[in-house]
Amino acid sequence: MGKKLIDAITSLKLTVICLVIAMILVFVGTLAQVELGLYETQKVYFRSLFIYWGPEGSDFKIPVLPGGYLLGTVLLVNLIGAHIKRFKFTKKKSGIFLTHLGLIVLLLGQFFTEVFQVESFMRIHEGQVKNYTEADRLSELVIIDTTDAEKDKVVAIPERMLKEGATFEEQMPFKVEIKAWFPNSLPGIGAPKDTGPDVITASHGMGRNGYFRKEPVGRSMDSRNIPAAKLAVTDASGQTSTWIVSAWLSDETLVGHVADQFGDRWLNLVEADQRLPVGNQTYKFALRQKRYYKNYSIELEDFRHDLYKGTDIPKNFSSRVHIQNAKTNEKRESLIYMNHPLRYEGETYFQASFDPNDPHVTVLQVVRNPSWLAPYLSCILVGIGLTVQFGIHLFSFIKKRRQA
Amino acid sequence: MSQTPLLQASQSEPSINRKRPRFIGLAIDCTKSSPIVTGLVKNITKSFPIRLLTGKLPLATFSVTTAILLAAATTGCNNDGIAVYEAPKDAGFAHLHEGHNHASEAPFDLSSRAPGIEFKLPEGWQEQAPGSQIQVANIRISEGDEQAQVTVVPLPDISQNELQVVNIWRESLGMEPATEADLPSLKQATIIGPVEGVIYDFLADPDSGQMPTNANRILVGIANHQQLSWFFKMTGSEEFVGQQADNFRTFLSSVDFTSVPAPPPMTSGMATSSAPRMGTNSLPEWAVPDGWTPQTPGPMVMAAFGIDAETTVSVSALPGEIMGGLLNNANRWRGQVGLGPASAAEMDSFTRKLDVPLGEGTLVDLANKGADKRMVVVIVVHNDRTWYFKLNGSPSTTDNHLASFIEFVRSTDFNHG
Repeated sequence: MGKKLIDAITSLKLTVICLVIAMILVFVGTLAQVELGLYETQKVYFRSLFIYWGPEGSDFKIPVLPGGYLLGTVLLVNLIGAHIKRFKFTKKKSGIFLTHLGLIVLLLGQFFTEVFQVESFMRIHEGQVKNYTEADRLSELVIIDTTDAEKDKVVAIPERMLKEGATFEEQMPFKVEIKAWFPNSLPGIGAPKDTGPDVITASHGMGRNGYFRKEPVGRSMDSRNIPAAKLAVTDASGQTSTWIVSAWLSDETLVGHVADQFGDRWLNLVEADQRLPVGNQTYKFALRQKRYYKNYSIELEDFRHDLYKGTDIPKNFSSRVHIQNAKTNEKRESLIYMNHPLRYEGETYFQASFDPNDPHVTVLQVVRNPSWLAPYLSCILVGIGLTVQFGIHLFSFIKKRRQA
Repeated sequence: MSQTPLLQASQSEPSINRKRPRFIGLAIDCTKSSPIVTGLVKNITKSFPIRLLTGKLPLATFSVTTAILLAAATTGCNNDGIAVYEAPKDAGFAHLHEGHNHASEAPFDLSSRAPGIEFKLPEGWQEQAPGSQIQVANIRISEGDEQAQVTVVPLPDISQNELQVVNIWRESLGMEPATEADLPSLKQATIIGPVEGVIYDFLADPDSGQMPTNANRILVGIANHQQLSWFFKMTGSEEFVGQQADNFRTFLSSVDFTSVPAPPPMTSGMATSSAPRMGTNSLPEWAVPDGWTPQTPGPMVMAAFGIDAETTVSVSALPGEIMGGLLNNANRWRGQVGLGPASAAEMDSFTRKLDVPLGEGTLVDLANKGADKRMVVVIVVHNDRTWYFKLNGSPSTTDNHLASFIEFVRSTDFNHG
């Protein structure tokens, strides 16, 4: 039984089957992008163990194809197992060894990149100092204790936990329940004309004079879903108040955009009293883009976007930043521009974009990838491996020629 | 020196280990001289990757290790939970209040405007300081007691979220939200500067009581240009916005995006695009009539000539068919010479066919004697490009030069570029 299993795992037929399924998966996944968009397709087809199918409108679903994670794992185990079983080391094959090792490092590196890489953005004004970056497509619910004049105490709940009916009470003097969760929403001012599960108002904060309407989830790569949630907060005395939180109320660009349509009425709503006093403490609720705080800060000193004279062709896009690290007493400048990112504390800052409305704002893409060295190491190993293998054949050929 | 293995197995090791790799070309026996090196070599050769590669690792060990590694990686590591931390206080949105809906009456220095678009203001329109950080332009129109406001706002391309944006405006006027199916019937095609855009007309629901009657109608022109969506919004009373609608269209047609900086090259797979550009240093072959003086061409223009103080000729060639259709373009040009828009049925009165060497072109002749303006445009479509030859001047001067202008058009090598 054990031997049969090992034979199956290390079978080269399995390798071929895996490669064929991989081709089908890529083909089907490419077609699915039309319907689902890039991010949803990646999630359903490639970052999954199985791909399910079920009749439309029914909850019944059956797995029809292995997902990318399962297929990749089986293929990796199969390739390494087959290698262990069949490959016998000899001096003459040492180059092939290194080449294989390089490929394994590359595959594993890609796997760890997939699992561990964190991408975020830093939008920063000239003169502004920031010690956090923000996720592009992930939100978080934050309950902030604003009592201290200097610092806020933040409880951050990631988006994946925000579902209708979910409750949270750790680290807070009250219980927070998610009464409604809209992955995409649209704001409104005044009282809504209709009520129902797709419209939320609240007893406190902006929800008294404004509302949010549920919108269909956008699938395309360019669209951004702007979530909203209704919270029910129950304090120790059993009193319950309801609140609305949304990125429409916390994201500066969105607030500015809606304010441009609604004017001061919107700004007044956004700044409506979203604060809940509990004893001597004051709490605030917000739904915002997920933040990644750093133990250092970055100040944007200067952002330049020069064009070739008389044209609209970019000549130079660069951000001069000042890094301050209180822990190491480090203070230094760095210039970030195309193909010249800043690498600091395991993160890489790329010049990514700018704000068309404000020439003094830069947008940096920030990537943390603990296995960023893997491709370099892999290339070195494959390079050495091939050189050694060709060298062995060359020396052997020269030796034979001399003997002849 | 004889060839001696660098990695020498000790006698106590199992015999299989004697087949460890030799490093080609090296001839130093380190193992005899350094016990540290011997230990190091042993450790390296017993390490996971080497045993894995040399087939010394039992399959069972390998399978268990791989399973643990993958399980840990997929379930444990990137699975963030609730976080509690202290952070500096955020700045609020107080700065966004600056100027919202209460734009300053003070004169506004245009040179201080952020890089944006250029446009021509119709009569009676007055540019003011932007009402918010995201506005590129803020224009006030007043006539007696009537007032309207026009704002220009660029945002990241919203073409995928058009319904959402349309519904924000509808909500603000107390209108029912529209559905995706409603969109085509709500918008009209229009020309905004060099690009094809759309225009929406929203009128507040009188029962909603949400908007005062002096701001119950919104006209919005939307143009997508270089990864940005540009919003031109006119707000005012139903009647006054209706009166200014033609001016609004003329204003839209005058928009010039050439001073908008191009988006920076993206580093993470975000595509960049650039507007079609004309090569100014490689002109097609044509016979330029005597007396025509070459001039510096403006944006999107291939070549320009001055004939006399009043009369000019310009040539441009853009990829694709006539952008926005002939009627829309003709109406834009009519606006430029001070004529009102024409209907499709009236087209024959000012257009005619013109023979050119490659077949047929279209000549549009627009004269406004009252304003002493005339524009003659010849449009030739060839090889997926549309050529526009424009003769601009007064009705009398253009009459004198019309024949040489047409000869010039006919002499052009349309296969250029």
